Order: sequence, then structure tokens, then C-alpha cells
Amino acid sequence: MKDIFNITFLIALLSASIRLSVPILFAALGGMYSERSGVVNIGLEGMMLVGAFAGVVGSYFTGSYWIGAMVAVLSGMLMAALFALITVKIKINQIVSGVAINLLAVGVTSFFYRALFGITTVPITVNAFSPVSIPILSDIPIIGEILFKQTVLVYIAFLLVPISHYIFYKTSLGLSIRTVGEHPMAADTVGIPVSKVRIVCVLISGALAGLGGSFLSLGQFNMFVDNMVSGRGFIAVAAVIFGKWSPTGVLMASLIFGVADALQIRIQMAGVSIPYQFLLMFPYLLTVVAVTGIVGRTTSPKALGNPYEK
Amino acid sequence: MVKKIDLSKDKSHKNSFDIFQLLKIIVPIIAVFLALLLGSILLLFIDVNPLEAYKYLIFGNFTNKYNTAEIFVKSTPIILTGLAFTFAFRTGLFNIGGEGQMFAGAMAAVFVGLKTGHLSPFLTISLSLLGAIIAGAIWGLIPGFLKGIFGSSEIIVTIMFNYVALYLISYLVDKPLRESIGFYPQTDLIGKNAYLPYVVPNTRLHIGFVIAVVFSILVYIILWKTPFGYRLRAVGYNPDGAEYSGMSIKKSIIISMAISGALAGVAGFTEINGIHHRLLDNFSKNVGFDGIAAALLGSANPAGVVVSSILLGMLQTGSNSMQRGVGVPANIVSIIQAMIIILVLAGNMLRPKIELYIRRKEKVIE
Repeated sequence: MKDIFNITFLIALLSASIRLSVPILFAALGGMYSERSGVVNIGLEGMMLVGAFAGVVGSYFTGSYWIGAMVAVLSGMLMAALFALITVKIKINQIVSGVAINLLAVGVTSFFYRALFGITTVPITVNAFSPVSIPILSDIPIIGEILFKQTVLVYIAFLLVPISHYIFYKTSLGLSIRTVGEHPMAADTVGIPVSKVRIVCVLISGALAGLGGSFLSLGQFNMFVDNMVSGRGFIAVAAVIFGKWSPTGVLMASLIFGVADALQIRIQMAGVSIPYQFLLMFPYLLTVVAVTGIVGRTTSPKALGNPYEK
Repeated sequence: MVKKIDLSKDKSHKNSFDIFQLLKIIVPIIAVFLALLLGSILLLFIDVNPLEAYKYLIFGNFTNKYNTAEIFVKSTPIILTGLAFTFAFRTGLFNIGGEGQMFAGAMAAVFVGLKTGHLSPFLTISLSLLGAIIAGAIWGLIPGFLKGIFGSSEIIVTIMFNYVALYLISYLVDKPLRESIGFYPQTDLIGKNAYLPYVVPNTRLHIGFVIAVVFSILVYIILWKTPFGYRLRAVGYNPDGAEYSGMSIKKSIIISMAISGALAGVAGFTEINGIHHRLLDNFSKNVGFDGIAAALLGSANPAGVVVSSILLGMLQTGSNSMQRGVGVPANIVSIIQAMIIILVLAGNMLRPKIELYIRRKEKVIE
């Protein structure tokens, strides 16, 4: 107990924190696109679940985890397309639609898993991503160990943060997205196609959530288990709020959740006498605290949650 | 949320009244048929004859008394969690935490059942129910409080509380309330006197179903027949207007979430005292979400919730007999269920357009 807080422990903890924050980061970045355009996406959870499942299916049938990740992105987008159709086009309430998408995802993944692999008790294992050391950078003491000996998807996730920042604040597409989310009518007046922008943003959120899901099944594990996302999509929704709808904020929020999760696992392994169930609750309770305004009053995009009527 | 443009109330179109009423009932029916149609595509995909499979799904329920009763056994907690969602929804809130509130109710019910199981049936059952109501109310009150005071999203908080309740149960059955033999992670059986009496002999149908129906009537009376309910609904319908006329939004949010949680807590009571008679990990999983499905399907009114819960109970019991009969994974029902919800909601959104279309046609005829 005394010597767990040494440097090896810290390296292992932080390295795990990075890994565990990635699925949330992917989904939260996706959720940010969708929310910035004015669409609340509670369906992230379901899109992640479908991504986790599709990743395993893709990897199983082709033997390539890259193709698995691609299939995951496409399946996430397929779910998002349905979500966009019912929220942006048909204008069903976004929260309700998200709940429906999540129910659908649970059904689709558990049904097709059994349809494809039979009713088994042992999960099917597939080829999955393995850590890639980045030359030179990974040789830096401590930092190299923590940051640069991860799987490729981790690097992609973190690269998406500056890329999203650039898109949001330096391109006309980003300006359009923000305008549509703040004041759709003004956007419409200046000729920005409101529905089209929203649909694109929802599709992006589906693609990223799908990729985040595949990181769970192909990056952290090499298998799919029913309901394996277990709330990470919802935590991602909270991370968007906690991160105040900005890419760097979302990164920070995701990292905090990653640390919480890693800490919880490490403490369990260290054999501390707190019952493990309470440690497992920790990330969820942290989420509650996070949305309860310890970051101060957050201002959401003004048109968030409202369908646009011409 | 769903704006209802109720053209059928317009008195000037008396002859078209029936068509619009009919449309309201037809939408869910069409939705169910379309969802089953989509399901049959999936069945063809795994080389199963859809007609054969649906024969089990629908008629498997009615092969004997026991199976038929199971429909109502399954639908009992769904009605209650459905009412929980309905209550919050009608007051402008999204309580996605029915699952966790049900677990909270179950924990209280089992605790009371273990401690007071030796008392007379009436007393111990009443105490269990009361315990479940209080525990569920607390589990709903906390998110309501956070929403009312800090403006935290009740959606996120209630979802997170589902997981907290889940792990709390896992802890209780693992350590403090573990059965005396200590073999499985589950509690001892509650006292025999705390068992809910069966309504139909040789089935599992217990009085919980009646309790659920009684609660649905109560919810209807509270929300639609009392000034208190009127105020809650006013806040849900138009918060600014309600506040302007002197109602406290904060108070309304907190009370409404507590009541909503209490309703879901009762589901924990019926599941423990009526079915399992002990607390165990992963019991009655997803019932909270089935409740949301039932509420959406029943257009968030108590009678609708009861009817759609029975429909969902039928699909779920039927799916088991389908799995036994033709080897189709029972999970296909989750897909059909989700598709029904999406189609019903889409149908409700499109209905005003269809009604408008019919009206235009009538005008031309006139």
C-alpha cells in the first residue's frame, strides 16, 4: 500500500488514463459537432455500442483490425443517419429519439452477435490493435512511456482535438456549424442550409462514436460483450457539457474521466479495503458532480434541442 | 414536446371527426405491423421462416394458462416504470432513471421484507411498499434537486444514478445482505408473509399487476383531476408562463421527480415481493427502459401506458417461446420494440400533415 505511489505506478496510471479516456474522447468530440449544430445526441451510447460490435465483426471476417475500425465508422454513421432522419427531418424530440436509438443498438448488436456467432458463452476473439511506439518520442523518459507507446487510434483521437479546433474556429464550415447551433434562422437568412449542416454534424458524431466504440472492442480488448459500452456514451455527453462545447474543454473532461477510471482500477488492484463496487461507481458519480456546475454556469448553444421550422 | 395540433376538436368539421380519431388509433397499429415486417427481413436474413417464427411470437403466449399469465407478470413492472417516465414527461422532465429508481425500491423492499417478514402479511407488505416508495422517491429526488437548484441535466444525472444503483445492489448482495449460506451473491428469501398473493392459481401472476393498474388510475387522477397536477403540467407545458402566474418551477421539478421516482420504486417492490422474493444481481434488467418504451408508445397517458406495457410484455414472453421453437435469438424483440417506438413517434409527427391533406381534399369537394 505504501509503495504503490512510486514512479512506475504513476507511469502505469497515466498511461492507462490516456487509454481509458480515448473512447470517451472520440464520442465526446462527435457529440460536440452534433450539439454545436443544435442537436442533442443521447444516442452516442448506442452508436458506440454498434461501433464496438461492427469493429469485431469487421476484424473477424477480414482478419484486419483496420477494416474493423472502418466498418465501425460506417455502422456508427448508419445509426446516425437514422437519428438525423428522425430528429432533423421528421423532427421527433431529440432526447426521445436518442433513447430509441440506444434501445435499437442494444437489440441490433445482441441479435446479430448471436445470429453470426451462435449462442455461445465464450466471447469470440479477433485481431486487435497493438501499441505502436513512435520512434525518438517514445524514448523520452516518463512522457514517452505515457504518451507515445499507445495504439494508433489513441494518436488519432488526440490529433482530432486540434483538427476540430481548426475546423470550428478557422473554417467557414465551422462558422456555419456554430451559426446553425446559435441562431438557425439567421443562418438560414444568409443562405446556410440548416438541415444539411445538422445532418452532416450528426453523421460526424456517429462516425466518431463508432470509432470510439471500436476502440473499446479492438483497442482495449479484442472481443465484443453485450452492453460493453456501459454508459461511456452518456459520460461523453456529459463531457461535452463539462468541456463547455469546445475541443480543448472536451479533451480535458475526457482526460479527467480517464484518470478517474484508471485510478479506480489501480486502487482495486492494490487491494485497498474499499468495496470494489464503490470504486466502480466513481466515474459515474464524478459525472454527476461534473454536470452540477463545478465548472461554473455553462452556456449551451442557444438552439440546442430545438428543431428548426422554416 | 410533440406539438399536438389537434384538428379533430374543431367543431366545424363534424363529419371528418371520425377519420381523425381513427388516424390516432391507426398510427400505432401500422407502426407495429411495419416493425414486424422489418423484423421478418431480419428473420429471412438468418434463414428462418418469418410466419413460423411469428406464430410462436404471438400464439406461443396463449398455449396454456401459465404462459398467458406471464404476459401480465412481465408487464407489471413495465407499467410502473412507464408511469414514472410519463409523470416526469408530463411535467417537462426526462426521467431516464426509472431503472435505477426501481433498483432503489427493490433494495428497500428486500430490506423490509427480510426484517419484518414475520409480521402479518398485510403489515409487512404495506411496509415493503412504503419502503420502496420512499427509496424510489429519494433516488428521483436527488436528480430533481440538482436540476432545480443547479440546473444540472436531469437526463445525465438520472442515467448515472442507474449505474450507481446497479453497483449498490451488487455490493449489498456481495457483502452486507449476502445469503446466510454465503454461496451465491444474493440475499436470503424474504419472509413468506411478505410474498405478494397470487391472483390466478398455478401461475406467477401476483397482485402486483392490480397494484400497477391502481397506480395508473392514481397518476391519471393526480395529473388531470387535481389543481396540484394541473400546476405540474402547466410548468411542463410552459415554464415561463407558469412562473409568471406564480408557480415555483424549482419546487415543481423536485416534487415531480420524487413522485416519478416513487412510481418506479414500486416496480422494484412488485418484482421483489411478487417474483424473485430476494435481491440478486442483474434482476429485471432493462425494465426501466422498457417503461420508457411503453410510455412513448402509449403517448404518455396512463391508459396508453397500461395497454402498451401489456403489448411489450406479450412480445417479450413470446420471444422466449420463439427462441425455443425456431431458435431465433430472443433479442430480436428489442429491435422490433425500438422500431415500433420510432415508427409511432414518426407517425405522430406526420399525422398533422396527413390531417391537413385530408382537410384540403374535403374543401375541394365542398
